[in-house]
Amino acid sequence: MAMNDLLDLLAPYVGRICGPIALEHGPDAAQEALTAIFRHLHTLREPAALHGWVRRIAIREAVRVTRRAADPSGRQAGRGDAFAAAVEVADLPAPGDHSLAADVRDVLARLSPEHRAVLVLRDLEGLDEREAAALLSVPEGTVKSRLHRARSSFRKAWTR
Amino acid sequence: MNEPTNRHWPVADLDPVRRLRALVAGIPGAVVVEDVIPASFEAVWDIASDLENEVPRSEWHVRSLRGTYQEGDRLEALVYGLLGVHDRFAIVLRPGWCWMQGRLLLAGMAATPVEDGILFAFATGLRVPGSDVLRPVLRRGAERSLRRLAQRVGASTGEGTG
Repeated sequence: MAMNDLLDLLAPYVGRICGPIALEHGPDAAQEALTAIFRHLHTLREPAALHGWVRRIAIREAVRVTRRAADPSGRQAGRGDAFAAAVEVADLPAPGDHSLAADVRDVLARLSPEHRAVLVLRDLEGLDEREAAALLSVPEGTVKSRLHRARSSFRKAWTR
Repeated sequence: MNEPTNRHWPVADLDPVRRLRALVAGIPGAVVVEDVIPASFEAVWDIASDLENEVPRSEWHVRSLRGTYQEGDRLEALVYGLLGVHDRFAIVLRPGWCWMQGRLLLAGMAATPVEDGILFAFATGLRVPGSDVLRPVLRRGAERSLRRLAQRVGASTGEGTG
């Protein structure tokens, strides 16, 4: 019964990772993530590494599925290019935009999936910038400079 | 795994059919087939979850299934095959979800409402090395089981599925 129990354990966690990144594509992303997890579970040698391994796959699949949905032609940028092409902080709504009020989903939807991935890693998962950068394979400075204001705006809207 | 730190963040909900697809992906040789049964969830699941009656009815190689233990959603059952082979199955059974794992065989069922009825998935697999080559056979068997279930549901609701 181990596989069923593992599914029960992992599905809510994967759903919490994929939801804020993939938004309306969350169920697709979570399914793809769990599919990859169960398909490659036999390659995981150290059970203690399960959490980080699952998190990495869920983040990757959430960004990939969201990008694929936005670009069905399949000409997706590589991970680094995708970050370079991510929306700028200027795309965030102005502070006086009342459509923000307490609507986390709306704020998230105004960010690129890559920005959302960093927000999830930092605000939901509690990773620091170095850990988030390593997991996403981008320079720490990229995480720091691009998302400082995004996160700040996000929290202002969230707590307003 | 971490608990959510804020309830306002969106969460991706995985329905039972999506869960079954993911679980089966990790089992070499296992297959999953799906179809939409035009009936209510209760009409479909009341029949599908009646394992003692329905498994021998839908699986040609099963003579009987007898429950031996139950605690919450966990069950154990002895399954006797036509050739005298028997296997003890550990089962998880909850609304819309059934996972059965024996020494040699495994099977799963999942159901979730969709626009036209109930999307029903049926999975089956052999827990023996090299079972990959039997996938076409397993798939045909799973499709047959799903058709029989749809017919049973149709007969019980008076809808008929041909």
